[in-house]
Amino acid sequence: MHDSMQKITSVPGVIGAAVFDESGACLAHELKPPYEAILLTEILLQLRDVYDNYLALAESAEINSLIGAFEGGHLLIRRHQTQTLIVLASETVNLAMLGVSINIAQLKLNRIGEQQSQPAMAHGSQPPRPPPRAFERAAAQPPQPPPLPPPRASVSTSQSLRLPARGSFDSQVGISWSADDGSQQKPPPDAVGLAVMRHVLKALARRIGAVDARAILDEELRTIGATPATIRASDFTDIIHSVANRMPSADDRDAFIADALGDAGF
Amino acid sequence: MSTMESLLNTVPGGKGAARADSAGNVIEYSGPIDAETVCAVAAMSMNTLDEVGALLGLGSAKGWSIVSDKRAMYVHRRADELIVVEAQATKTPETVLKKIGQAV
Repeated sequence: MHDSMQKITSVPGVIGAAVFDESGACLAHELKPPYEAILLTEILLQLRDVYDNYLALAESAEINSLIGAFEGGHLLIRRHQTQTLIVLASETVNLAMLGVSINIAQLKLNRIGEQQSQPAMAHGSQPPRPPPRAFERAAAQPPQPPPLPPPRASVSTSQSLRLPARGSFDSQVGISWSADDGSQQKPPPDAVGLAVMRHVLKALARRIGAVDARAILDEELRTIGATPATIRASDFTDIIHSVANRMPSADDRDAFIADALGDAGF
Repeated sequence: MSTMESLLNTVPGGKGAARADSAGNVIEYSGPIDAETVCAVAAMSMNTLDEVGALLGLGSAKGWSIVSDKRAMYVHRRADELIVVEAQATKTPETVLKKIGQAV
């Protein structure tokens, strides 16, 4: 998948490319600062209005491609089965060449998808799902977190990170961080979405490591009876502060909150 | 041959072309399309695309295309006007958008 991204970004004038799954999670990307995958998720969300406008006109319920030509560059979006490919390019890019490169990348992504689904079928797993409206689903989970409330007064005085008690995490089944978590629990309309929670997980992992980050977030989610897919916007800032309050350093807390809520990166 | 007709000829599978003001009011059109609705849809999408351009730091939208299974809509934006072309779906909308930009 990264090879496909690299092929696209090797076209002169291409700034970056990313692939998202139907839940809005980034599967692979070749993006340079200041562009980040979470920003592109926000773009997908914004473009939902444009899709809706068009779908009201067309008989078809599927949008396969959107191209935006701007004063300073181009945005190209292609949907293929469950994946959405986004490419950013400069004003000088050869659109025809880029279009061909994207078509080739889509073919490769399709082959990868087929290869991944074949072993699953061989083992009697579920049959492949019909192609969903990935444009809409990828944008269905709002990546923008709610406004930050005033910080809590009850900041931890512990001088070390408060991790879950030994065994408490290992002894429990880990919470699924995938779109299909098997819980049959439908995300509420005001869920912040997996993309946002994955961003929070990454922000925390950068500071305390992936294993501890996952353990802490899973524990906090269990406390409120939510999963990454179902946590509501109203609980989101609480969980961010609960996690931050486990950090002994005020600077780390502030940096994590800013990063998790998107103030630092975009 | 009108401007819209000649523009339509440059687009493979072109069904209709229309020129509208920035509010989507049709000024002229050619081909069997619902020009009022098509131009209204194009105008409604303009602000959102401008916001997207601002978010990405790419500036205002100069044009865009949307392709579904069956249809494609191409929009080219001029000072206070929108040129809208409706056509059959294609696998290479980038090329068509480029052609329209060169033709108008």
